[in-house]
Amino acid sequence: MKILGVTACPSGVAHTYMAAEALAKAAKKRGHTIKVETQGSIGIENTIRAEEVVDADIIILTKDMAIKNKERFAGKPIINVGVGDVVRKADIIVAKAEEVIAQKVQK
Amino acid sequence: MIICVPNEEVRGDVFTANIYVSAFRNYYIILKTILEVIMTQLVRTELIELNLKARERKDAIIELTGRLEQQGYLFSKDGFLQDVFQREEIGNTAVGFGVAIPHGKSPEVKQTAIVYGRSELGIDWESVDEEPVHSVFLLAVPEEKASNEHLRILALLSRALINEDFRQQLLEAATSEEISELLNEVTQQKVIES
Repeated sequence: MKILGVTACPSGVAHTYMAAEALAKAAKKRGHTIKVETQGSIGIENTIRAEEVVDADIIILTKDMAIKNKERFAGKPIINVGVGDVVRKADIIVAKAEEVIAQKVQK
Repeated sequence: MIICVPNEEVRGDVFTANIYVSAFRNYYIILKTILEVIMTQLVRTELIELNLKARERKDAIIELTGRLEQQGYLFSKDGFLQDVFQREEIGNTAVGFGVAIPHGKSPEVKQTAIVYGRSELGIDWESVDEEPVHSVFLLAVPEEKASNEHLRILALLSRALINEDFRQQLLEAATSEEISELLNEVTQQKVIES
């Protein structure tokens, strides 16, 4: 499964990066490919490219802060999650992403 | 007008002197590089407190700031504390997993540094999850440094903290040297594209 993620948090100094790391780690552990863009106080890093969006199966976005350039994901299945939940329960969120994809395939 | 034409002997001396100058210059460059490497060791063993006495957020920050002052990193302790507390007002710096990262960008800081403090009993960080804090990283950054530097260090540290092994190693390290090595490794690495 190809997962894309974008993380952001109110102060943009710690949780953005913790969430990105946690998500990447959890996804890789379950055998998925993943790329996580961080929108923190350093600016936007690891920017997701348009062709990567085309290939992606699912998009995971944190919902604590408005995600910049969100419109590029239009038409893709999106999961919105709290940044704190990503940090603490990234495994569960990746499992949920798998579920969403499975349901979509069944339909 | 007198024109001096150096004889063979003097020209030879100039040549030798040039060799000395160039050798000295190389030596200077090497020495400077070594010094730079040492300076980038942000976490020195003198800046590590294995047993924090404080049990509350404010006291823990004061205790760690004492270390910074003692090691000559600050122009003014009170001024720096004020900046750190101000940051703490904007948003609690406990990040979960029993870790807090208070930080201050302040004109009272002479040189960027990280102070690490460990508490076995735990510190009340007044955070939403009420989880006691066992590892505290206090980050001190001079005002004139581009704000990016301390943000980058924080980003690297935050990423590393997701790693349970890293957190465990910090808590279990027996000496300040071990901790200093762990932290320098983490804060100097480049972010691997995920």
